[in-house]
Amino acid sequence: MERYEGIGASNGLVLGPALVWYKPSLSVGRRRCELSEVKGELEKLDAALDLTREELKGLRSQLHGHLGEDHARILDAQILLLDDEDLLTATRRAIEKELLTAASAFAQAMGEALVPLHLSQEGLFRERIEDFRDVEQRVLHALRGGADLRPELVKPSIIVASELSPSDTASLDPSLILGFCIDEGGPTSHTAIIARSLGVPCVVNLRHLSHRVQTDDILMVDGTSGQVVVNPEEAVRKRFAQRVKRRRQAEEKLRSLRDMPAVTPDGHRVELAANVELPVEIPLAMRNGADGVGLLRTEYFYFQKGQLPNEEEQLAAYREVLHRTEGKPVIFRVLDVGGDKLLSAMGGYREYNPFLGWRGVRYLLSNPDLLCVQLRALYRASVEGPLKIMIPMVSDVGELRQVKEIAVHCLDQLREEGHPFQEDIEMGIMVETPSAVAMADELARECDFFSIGTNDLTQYIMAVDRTNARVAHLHRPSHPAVLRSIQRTIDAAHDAGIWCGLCGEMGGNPSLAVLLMGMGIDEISTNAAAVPMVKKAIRSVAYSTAQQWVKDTLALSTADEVDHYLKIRAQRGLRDLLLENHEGSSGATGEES
Amino acid sequence: MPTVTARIGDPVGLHLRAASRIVQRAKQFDSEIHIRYQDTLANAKSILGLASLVAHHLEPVEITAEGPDADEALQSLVELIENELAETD
Repeated sequence: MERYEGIGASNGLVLGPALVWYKPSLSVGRRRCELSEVKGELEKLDAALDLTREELKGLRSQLHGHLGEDHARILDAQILLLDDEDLLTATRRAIEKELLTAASAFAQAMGEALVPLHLSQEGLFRERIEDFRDVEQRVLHALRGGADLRPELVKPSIIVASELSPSDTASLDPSLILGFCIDEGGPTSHTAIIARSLGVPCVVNLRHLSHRVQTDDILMVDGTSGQVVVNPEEAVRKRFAQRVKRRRQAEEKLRSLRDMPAVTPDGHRVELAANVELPVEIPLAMRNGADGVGLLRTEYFYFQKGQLPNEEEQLAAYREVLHRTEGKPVIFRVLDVGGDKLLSAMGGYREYNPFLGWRGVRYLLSNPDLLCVQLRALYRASVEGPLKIMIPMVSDVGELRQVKEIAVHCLDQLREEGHPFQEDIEMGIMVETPSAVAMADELARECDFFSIGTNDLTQYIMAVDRTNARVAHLHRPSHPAVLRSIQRTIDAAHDAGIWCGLCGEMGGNPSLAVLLMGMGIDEISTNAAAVPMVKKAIRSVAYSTAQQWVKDTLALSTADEVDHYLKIRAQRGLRDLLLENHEGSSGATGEES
Repeated sequence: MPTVTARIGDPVGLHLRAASRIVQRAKQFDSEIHIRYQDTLANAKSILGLASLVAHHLEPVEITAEGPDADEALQSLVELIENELAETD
């Protein structure tokens, strides 16, 4: 029995077998061939280079089609590597003179060629090594016959990994995931967010766990405290199983609210929706009784296959989403990426300050063709079910106007082409920049709804990078500066006669959700796992009481004061809720990540 | 052997996309072309070689060419490095 201590990133308790996930990183030793095999090895090398070149060229032409020549160029370096005179001469020489196999020779030549890059002191330039390593892996895979070496998830398991990429997570069957134990990362990493959405425990920052655990070892994971026990003793295991059982009963009690609306005892109704990152999370949202999807992130559809989806592919994906949400409304947020995120995956463009950079609507407006394809797909999908469209990272009224112009153009095209679509699709914006809060009255006049993105809004209002561990503690949505901004935004929306929602982790905290309700928020969208608890909170506190909370907290000066106030109130108003979760306040009641 | 000096026109420096374009351009010539930045000498037709040059905006690199079309090659590469790269990025 061994204990490990990490950081709890998604609450819950689980006991089950491990599946150790590793990246198929091929390394080859110095393997020799016979003199008679040299010719064959040289041919194998050429075939593998050809295959890889085809792969990369295919990817390039797709990028070219969607983003234009300028962006497609980022793949050129990788393609050029396959024809690199110095590299290929060294590889062929190693096969012919040292009698190495094609794989060994190629790996050796790559290793030598990358030495000067490793010696470079600059991080920005050193990252290009990764781009070349990626090509190396592709060639080595091609030499092996292209077999996929990823382990298979065939039974319910706890995924143990050094780190998972979004495409790794996307390839896993969510119904078989019991939890995650990750060596790296923080509570806001991609895997942690997925875990919270799936409602399974996740512990991050476990350092070398993935090297110490074998597939099928039994793990005991506490996603709240961050404790992981490997192969626990019988008595420990039994006690833990008891805890798991008690907790499950409490959760089931909450879930019994599934078909009840989020209405306060004095009859005030709030729409309670779920944030969805991957389509596989939709069933959990529906099971937990969400009124709809308040934030459907569309990035997944773009990164799933490592290539940009065309209009027909997007249309099919959006239809599938609307099918799964059973007629409940879905707010699709158009592609929200930083230019750096989209492009750095393939080398090339990087920013020193991506949060203040070329992202969200800014990126889309400099790539109007990309936006057009997505809007057309969304409008065409609108005949399948109720959908709304949301624009990310708006910081200026002019941006909203430009998007609307493009939308009008798309609708004209669709009409001309005879594609059916729903008239009057609502278009709203994310309010997540201080400038959008300041201009909320003007923005409200020109769009159909607001959704306050509290994760980013808090970061920008407080000027805190929440991924920076030294200042992350200052990232608090309960800070009066954030609360005042939210109140101001809601009021501006209502003055202009539009509705105002909120999507962000903040809405998953029961006492903050009650506070938001008191501010007059019309819709709260949060991670699917938190929906039942938030619903219970709203059903427990009268609207008039929540309004009093707002009055009191808006008069306070610090986040500590607000948190203290809410703690005292919640002990009265939300006691049941807190008791049921005494096992460790769940992701939603704990500190915001 | 003809040698010229060019200053990196691209504000981001000699990044990978720029390096790719230099390799593509160099390959259009029969001459052997090398680019030197500080103490590092790289084959202009090798992406791995160019990737090892960490040259920043406006820093000088030295280009040498040897072969039948050496002069044209130098002229074309200087134009690319000083001007064309700056324009498209």
